[in-house]
Amino acid sequence: MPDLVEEYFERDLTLSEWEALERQLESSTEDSSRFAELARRFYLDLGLPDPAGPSGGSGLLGNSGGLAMMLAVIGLLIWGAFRLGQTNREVPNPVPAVAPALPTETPTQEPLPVKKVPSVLKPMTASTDTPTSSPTATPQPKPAVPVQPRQAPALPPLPTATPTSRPSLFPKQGFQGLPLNQ
Amino acid sequence: MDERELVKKILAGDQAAQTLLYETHAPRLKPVCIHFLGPQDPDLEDVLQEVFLIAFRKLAQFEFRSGLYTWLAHICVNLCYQRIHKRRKQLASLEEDLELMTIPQVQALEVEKHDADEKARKVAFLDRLIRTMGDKCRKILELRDRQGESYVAICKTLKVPLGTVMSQLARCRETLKKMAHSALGEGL
Repeated sequence: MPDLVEEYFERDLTLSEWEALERQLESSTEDSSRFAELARRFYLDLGLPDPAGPSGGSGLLGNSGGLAMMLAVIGLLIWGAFRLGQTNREVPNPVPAVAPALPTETPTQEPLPVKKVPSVLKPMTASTDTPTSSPTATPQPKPAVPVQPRQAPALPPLPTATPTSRPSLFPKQGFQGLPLNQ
Repeated sequence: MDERELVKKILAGDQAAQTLLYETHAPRLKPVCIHFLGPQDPDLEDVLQEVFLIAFRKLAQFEFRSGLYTWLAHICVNLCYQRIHKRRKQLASLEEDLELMTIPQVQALEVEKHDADEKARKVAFLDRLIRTMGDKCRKILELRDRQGESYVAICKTLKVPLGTVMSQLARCRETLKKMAHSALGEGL
């Protein structure tokens, strides 16, 4: 009887052979281990890399260490690129730090004509004075108008409270009370 | 921790002990799965999980006649083998489907022709479809169907594990079947 464990890796088994092998693997731990070992060898013969488990890393510091190392290298590269960018930015700037003052713009639009209406109001006082000059003209300082302090009208003096005798319901001699036995 | 003590704790329902068992043995079992199914197999993690589900369920039956890892590896090998076996069955049924699908349609087109002529027409039809498929599928289908290579030989030619050959072949056959269906549907 052919050894199905080995035959499996040599050719395609028939359906009955597959079933027989299944029974064999289920019943025997030795056959199962041998089958696993042959599968491992067959896999490696294909030229594929030997798979490493999650914690059995064969790298410098294992799988987690390798990941940390990779992150550190990436971080270093980013930092290097940042520093390089900063160095390039430190080239002296030909533009002067203080730019000359730009000429201020002068109004090009003519001021709108103001229709002069003869004033019929009472003569202007200092508080209602309006400028008569054009908007372009520089405003002249107004003459200071002396403002008279308002004087409040004299009020009549308040009546001062004088102690007076309050009217009383009772006679001066006081309440005598009712006679008890009446 | 001693294996007997660990098993006793797991049977008592200690979750920390369960975690310890998983963390100790899962990294060692993963390469076993990869040897069978290949590193890119979508079932890889499922198989690994299933190993421990079965182990926790049957731990009371463990008699310490071998090491715990040997026992777990035994379960793992069986599960991987079952996956491959399932794929083999799936492939066989796909082949049958393809035959059943193409024969009546081609026969309807050429009733009077000889069997050989029919077969040539059918092969030409499938060849035309295969040529439009991707490089990976084209290679694997040509090796298996045109040249009649065994799965083992395909593994060696394409340098991929057995499980990968079978899963790729199953996917490519499924695609071919769909393409043939739509091509025949349009042609009729």
